[in-house]
Amino acid sequence: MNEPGNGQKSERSWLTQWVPGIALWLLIGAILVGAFFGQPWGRAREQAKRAICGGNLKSIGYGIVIYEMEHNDMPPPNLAALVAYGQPKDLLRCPSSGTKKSPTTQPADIAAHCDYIYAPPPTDIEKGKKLLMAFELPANHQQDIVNVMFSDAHVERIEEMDRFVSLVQKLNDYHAGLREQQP
Amino acid sequence: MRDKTHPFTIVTLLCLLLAGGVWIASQYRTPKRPPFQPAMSISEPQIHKVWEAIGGFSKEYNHRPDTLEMLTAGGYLKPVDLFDARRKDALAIDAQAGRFAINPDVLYFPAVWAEDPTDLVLLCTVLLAEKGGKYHVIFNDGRYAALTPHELVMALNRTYEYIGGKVILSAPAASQPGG
Repeated sequence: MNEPGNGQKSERSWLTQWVPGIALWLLIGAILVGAFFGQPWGRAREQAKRAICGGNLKSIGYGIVIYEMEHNDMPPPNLAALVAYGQPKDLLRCPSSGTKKSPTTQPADIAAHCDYIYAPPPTDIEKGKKLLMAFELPANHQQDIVNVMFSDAHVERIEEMDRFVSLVQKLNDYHAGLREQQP
Repeated sequence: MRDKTHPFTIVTLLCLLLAGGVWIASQYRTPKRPPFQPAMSISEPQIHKVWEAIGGFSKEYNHRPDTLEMLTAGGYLKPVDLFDARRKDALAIDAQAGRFAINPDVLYFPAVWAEDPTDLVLLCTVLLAEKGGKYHVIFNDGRYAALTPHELVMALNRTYEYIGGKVILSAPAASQPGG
């Protein structure tokens, strides 16, 4: 004859023996799936970071436009001025670069913790010229792509590195032309 | 005395160890990011040659060239010195435009003049030929430096800030159409 409570005891022992086992098997399954399909996940993470990087540039562009509106159409001299104006300093870091967060909003700190290169756009905004206003180094994304922003604040993801180099040189040539015109 | 360990637990633990091993191995096998793409870039001796050619041009004309093509057209530099050695099909100059069909593998800052501050970038590479490499930079005083990405970003921001201050912020009239 069974003792009273034996049914409950066997139910408990079933729980203690099988539930942790099943949980562990599920964990093992998850780890194995992660192991074999980890590469696509890693790529997905990088894709997300690239999108965030492009979004950062876009936000910088909007910040510059607002800055210009409140400063007689004059662009900020550098990105530190944009941060001083109220732009979040975290936007100046590409998530793929590994650059540390700027400890303060002091210009020197901002310059030392910035991943984007900014060239003040011309005040007449010759949008047709498609000049670069800000860009990053392609090494941030393994030289696979590079995010750039044009003087009309639109952001592009460039995959041809030759085109990227040409765009930067075009900006440099434009500056030289402007400087030549000055007395 | 305790009961013998349930065989299921032993198998589970063994599988856990196996899975851990596979996971650790996978961390080395599968890169977290897409692989690095080596790009076209000139070498350190080449960038020195470009600097010397700019010096030769400046001596003769009393100013720096507007474009790097002027150096090759004037015989100060061979076209191959402006391109990565792996390029074979990019050395022809478009006679009409006076420019190479594709941009040389080095960036030139013609808006930086000799009398400007010495820490401005005059020539630099922005692409790396190999992973972990450094960028070749010639500053305005001819000083060469191999910079990390972070250092190059700072140097370029400093250069564009100076140029922007000269041609855009301090002289808005100059950039106005018809101004």
